[in-house]
Amino acid sequence: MFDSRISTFLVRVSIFVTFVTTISLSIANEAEETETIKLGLLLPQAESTLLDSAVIRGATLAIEEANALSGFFGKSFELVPFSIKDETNAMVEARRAVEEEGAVALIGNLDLEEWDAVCSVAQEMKFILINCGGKDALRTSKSYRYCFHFEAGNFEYIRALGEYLVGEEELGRWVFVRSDDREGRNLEAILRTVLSEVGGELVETVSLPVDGATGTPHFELVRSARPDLVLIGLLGDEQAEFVEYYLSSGHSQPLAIVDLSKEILTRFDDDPLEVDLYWAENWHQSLFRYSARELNSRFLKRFKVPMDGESWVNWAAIKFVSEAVIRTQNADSDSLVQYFESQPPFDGHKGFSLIFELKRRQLSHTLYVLKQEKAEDRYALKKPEIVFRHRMNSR
Amino acid sequence: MRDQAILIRVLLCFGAILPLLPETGTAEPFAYVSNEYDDTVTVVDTATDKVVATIEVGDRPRGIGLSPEGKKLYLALGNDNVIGIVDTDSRKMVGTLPSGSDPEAFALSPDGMRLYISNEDANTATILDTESGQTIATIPVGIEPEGVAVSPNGRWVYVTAESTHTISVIDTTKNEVVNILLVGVRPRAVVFSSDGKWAYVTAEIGGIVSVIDVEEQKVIGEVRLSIDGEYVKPMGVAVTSDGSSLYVATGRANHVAVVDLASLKAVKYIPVGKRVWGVALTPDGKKLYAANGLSSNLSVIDTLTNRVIGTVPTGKGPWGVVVDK
Repeated sequence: MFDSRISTFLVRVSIFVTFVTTISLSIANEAEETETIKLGLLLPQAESTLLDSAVIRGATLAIEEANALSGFFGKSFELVPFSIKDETNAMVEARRAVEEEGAVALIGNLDLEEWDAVCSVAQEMKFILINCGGKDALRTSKSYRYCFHFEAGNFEYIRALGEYLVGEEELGRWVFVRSDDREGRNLEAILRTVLSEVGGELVETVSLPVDGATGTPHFELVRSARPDLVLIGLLGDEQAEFVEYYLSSGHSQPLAIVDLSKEILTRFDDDPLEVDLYWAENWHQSLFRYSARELNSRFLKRFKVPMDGESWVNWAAIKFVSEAVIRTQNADSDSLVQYFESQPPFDGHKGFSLIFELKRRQLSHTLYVLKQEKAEDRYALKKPEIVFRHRMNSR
Repeated sequence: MRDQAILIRVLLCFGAILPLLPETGTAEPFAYVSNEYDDTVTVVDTATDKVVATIEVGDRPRGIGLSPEGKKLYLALGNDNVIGIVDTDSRKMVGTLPSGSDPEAFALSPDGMRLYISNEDANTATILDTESGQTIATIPVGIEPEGVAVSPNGRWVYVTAESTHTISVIDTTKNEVVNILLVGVRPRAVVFSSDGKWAYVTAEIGGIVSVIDVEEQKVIGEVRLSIDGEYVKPMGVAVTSDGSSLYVATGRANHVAVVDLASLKAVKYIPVGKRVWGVALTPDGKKLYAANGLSSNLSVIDTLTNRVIGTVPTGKGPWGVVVDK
């Protein structure tokens, strides 16, 4: 069922956990025998072969840190990855994770169909499921007792941009560029709600066919709307392609991007931006206060790459579950749900106690608006800087 | 009669020149304040609450402690990666000790022979011989270690770990961790009662002070701190010598909480300056000094009335405060 690389990874994780546990036990000379708690990581098949992905790095750091002292508390933790390809397969793998591997919680970034499918299994089999993805549809679907969200939804990301760009920068007239599909329409609905709340105005929506035509007529729409800002709701290649066209056609209004592709920033390493660029993240390598510096330092030291938002949310999810097990001395799912629902203070290195919003089962934390300032010349190119902090559910 | 006249003349003469003498080590206890942002230590005469000296030290002084006889002042110099030593008579930096990277907090053994340092980046505690400067042991503790305290009998060293919410209990007869206690979320500072029976740990994110039975090595209670229903972030902590009260700095909540240890309840929140961090009591327990990091001053609190009776200017970013015996 696993491809060979996943099997290799599993072996590597097991070896590593054994190593860490050995170290822990070496200082836990009076510790009792430890119970191993398994946490499952649901990985989309396309990503499951990326053994050094941001998801796995974040999860691995959390497991290592949980195991550093676990010998003293009688619990140790093991990360078990599962590859999924669709909702049917996700249900099968979720059952297998719990029945055969004995996982007490599953963590993953699922689409709506997969989420509903695995949540129904979680209800039936009583295990914790944690979503580390940002799709808002998951939060508006049926509420499940055992299912929780750690990543912020798109609403919060757009809200963060709206609060800063309208409230602080006074960029009130927005054009929204989206794909002509359900996801694009959902984002536009969110944007309209946010702009009405923060006092902005959506003056034009540019809806691009999913096949990716980003030609002249669309740019004329943007130009004629005379916006203060253009918000891009496209993903992946379409996002990069639109930005290229936008810049090459002489537009000067600042850009904001809902879900920034890493390729965009890489592209501007060699070719400076000619407009200001804004986006929001749940974590950034430049964060310093509230022990963010220490977490960034540990991550960089361990993996030789900076911690990003995807790593942070997976780190946070596993840290939370492992701490719940240690605090309650119980891996029973009902005990863990009760613990989550008691709104215990959780330290996500963001400077305040992160707690669950009970109705939506959403962890409230902080999003950071970043700005990549346009450069007069390539030698003046600055690093992105955090210009605003949006605390979720603060309104 | 003649002898008495001579004696009176001598005394008058001494009285006349006394104000001209430099104000170095005298009988009054002095408070020493580490100023994080201007690399100095402010010296305050606790009898008058006046600044009597400012000492240039190394880069980013935070953790601060005195040798038992009060002759040496130790400072964690975070950006120099050393422990600085100040001679309290001459008020000069006279040396350094190795500390590991980015030292923030430490504690001295009661005999002054050992220095226990938390190494935040390395997740270790370093034990130093203060005479030779040699490292005696480097011990793995929890993740992001910070606060350190030594029990009055010197047997136990407690080290907080912010990310794992733990106290590592080091047995100084073995120099190894013999127990780990789970406390409030993001523990910062720890202090022992003067009889050594109890230890108190502030938890910044948890908003509580955990109470530890030292003999049993168990957390036996907690004190929740909140102002107008909002949880505060407990930081620095001091306990009165009779063990009746605890004073807790609340960081950006800008208050010092007074905790009655019989009932484990906060009985008063005293408004002080901005981002209050380190706190220290005078030896007679009559005054508490609280370092206000963003106000760059010390609040002086009368512990009988629990009111602020004065404010003393410091350097920039006062962090820790210690009073000699």
